[in-house]
Amino acid sequence: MYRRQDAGKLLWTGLAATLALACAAQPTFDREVGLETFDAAWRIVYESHFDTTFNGVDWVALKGELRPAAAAADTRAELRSIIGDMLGRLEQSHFALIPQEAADTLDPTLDDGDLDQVGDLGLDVRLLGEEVVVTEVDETGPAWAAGVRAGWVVRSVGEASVDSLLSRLRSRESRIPVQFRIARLVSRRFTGQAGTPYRIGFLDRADRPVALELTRRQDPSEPVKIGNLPTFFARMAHRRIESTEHRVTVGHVWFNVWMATLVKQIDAAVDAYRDLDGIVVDLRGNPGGLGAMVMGVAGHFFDDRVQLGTFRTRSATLRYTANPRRVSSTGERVQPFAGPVAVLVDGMTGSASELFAGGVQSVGRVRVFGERSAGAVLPARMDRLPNGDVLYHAFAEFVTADGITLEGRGVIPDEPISVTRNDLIEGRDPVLDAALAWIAEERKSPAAGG
Amino acid sequence: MRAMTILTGLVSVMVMLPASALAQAGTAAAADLPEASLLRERHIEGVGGRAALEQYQSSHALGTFEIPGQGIHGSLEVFAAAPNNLLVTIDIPGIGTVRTGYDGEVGWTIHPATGPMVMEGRQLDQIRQQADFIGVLHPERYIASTETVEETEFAGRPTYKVRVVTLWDEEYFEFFDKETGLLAGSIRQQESPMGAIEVTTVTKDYRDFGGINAPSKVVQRMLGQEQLLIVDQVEYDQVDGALFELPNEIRTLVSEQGESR
Repeated sequence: MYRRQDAGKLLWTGLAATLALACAAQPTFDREVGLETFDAAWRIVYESHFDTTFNGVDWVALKGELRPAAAAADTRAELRSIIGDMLGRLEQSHFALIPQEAADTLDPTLDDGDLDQVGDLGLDVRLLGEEVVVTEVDETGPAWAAGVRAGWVVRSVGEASVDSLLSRLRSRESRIPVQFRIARLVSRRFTGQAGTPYRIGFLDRADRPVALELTRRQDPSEPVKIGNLPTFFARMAHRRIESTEHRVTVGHVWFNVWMATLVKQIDAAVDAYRDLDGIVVDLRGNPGGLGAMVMGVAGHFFDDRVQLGTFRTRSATLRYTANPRRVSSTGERVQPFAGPVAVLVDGMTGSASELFAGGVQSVGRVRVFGERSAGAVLPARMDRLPNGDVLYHAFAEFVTADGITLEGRGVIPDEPISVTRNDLIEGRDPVLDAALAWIAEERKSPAAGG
Repeated sequence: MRAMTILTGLVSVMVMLPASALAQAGTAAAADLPEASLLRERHIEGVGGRAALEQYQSSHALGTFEIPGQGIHGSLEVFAAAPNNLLVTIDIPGIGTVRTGYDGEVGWTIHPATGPMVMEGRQLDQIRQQADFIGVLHPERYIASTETVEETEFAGRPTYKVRVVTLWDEEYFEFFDKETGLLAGSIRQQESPMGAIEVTTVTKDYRDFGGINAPSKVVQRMLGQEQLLIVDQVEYDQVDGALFELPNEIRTLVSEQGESR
């Protein structure tokens, strides 16, 4: 089954801003600082973009075009829109302006109490066909308690109909697929201040309308903040799957974001499943995170320092290599897992998750199942701008070991499989099921290791 | 050169390899330029002289690590001891504690994101040079030749640029302040598991730490990004040698490598 979407990723554009704005008045807009901010954003990209052709955009001419508007901006919102326009012209992922109020709230290192207010509903959604469908419900959350189940259709969120949101998104040009944007938009509305109610209109499994007012719970995930990035909410889960149908026992490892705080749990899970028939790394819904972590996690499945790909910056080409994990989480000597590894992806799988999936796929170590991933794979940094906003910008591109640039393309599964609403209603996960079947076949092969 | 060793050791944490030490061997300099060996001697005098550098057997520095543009701030500690022990720890919120060490034989790093690694090749050569407690006084241990190549501006200061070639045939450049004689910085291809990365290191704000005049601030630029290492305090001859023992996971990796040879 799908797991709850990365609430943390979405939170910074939703709840963080809400809380910040509720607590503080909007700062007075200073035109001079605004123009400095525009210039700084332009210059940072000019000096650090990995591609000196700027993906075909005349970056100098663009400054001439947009700077007068930035100089005339009367509000922070106007300025942000202009900078957003500038970044959008690149038509590449990992270029964004993060509002200061999103970047600077919910900092777990400050312990200011706001984190207690972070709430969610404990459900995840995807666009399946023309409907936004509940794909996962956390059994400990308010949605589950209210009877919401996988396979339900979300018809309205708050006062907005999902159809109208979908139409709106479809009318806007974007390089980001609509299924990614609608899932993000709807999920963002599920997050909010803990203890507050939120109205959702559903169709249940029998297509009967159900209107529910759910109360957001305190988010159970671990808050993590790295530098200028907004706070992420990291969560990991794993389980042992004993498939009687396929006669295999596998370890299933899922996490919602690549954050170093989860590494010990992931290491321990791999240790627990080291002797099983196979391991499934489920990256569905995982939008990315700390790229360096990929080298460590991939190392669980390689006995040598295998190069998974290359980072190309403007001035350097760096190897991206798995670090063989020959020591267990308890310090004992082990062999990296040599058995079959399946990686599950979908349209919400992005960035570091694609780096992992595409990297290990490119050297033939794993088999990838599911739907094509987001195609948003650019290593990025987060620079503070003069007005306090944060410029998120790519400084490198990633090319897999077999020479494929994943940005704009995504990871193409070895076995493309889509989940239907009917699958969810009947409690099936065809993507996981295909992975189990493959592991079973691999285990029949005389060459199977592990 | 303990204080310098301390500061250059900090580099290894982020790029997983050390910055330059201050050793140069005396060879002929270009016409009209001071010999590199004389520049080194002037630097040694500037930081307090040979006797000052040889007076301690260990050091423990405390300070901060920052990547200002990215909003990343952490605490750092650097432990060093004669003849060539080094341990650097940097604790970064949201990432965890990055540890890098050398025990006289094994160079290693443990990063929360990537796991434990044992250094090899040029990366090991570089940390060996870095970890030498008074390496600046013994350039012959690491350096094949040095040559003063030009007068040039470096980090806004007039400097002499010195080309250094190591015993393992690595070339890098050091810059000595014309006015103070102190090391102003270096440009070096630092080895890492991801390959070589050019690092420009600027050493500045020299101040007295227990009779040794050492830079309290090191700015490093790599891949278009700047990181800052600040030392606030240095204690001498208080370090427990047990600190340099290999961590469990590194010992396990080393024993495995030994058996596989």
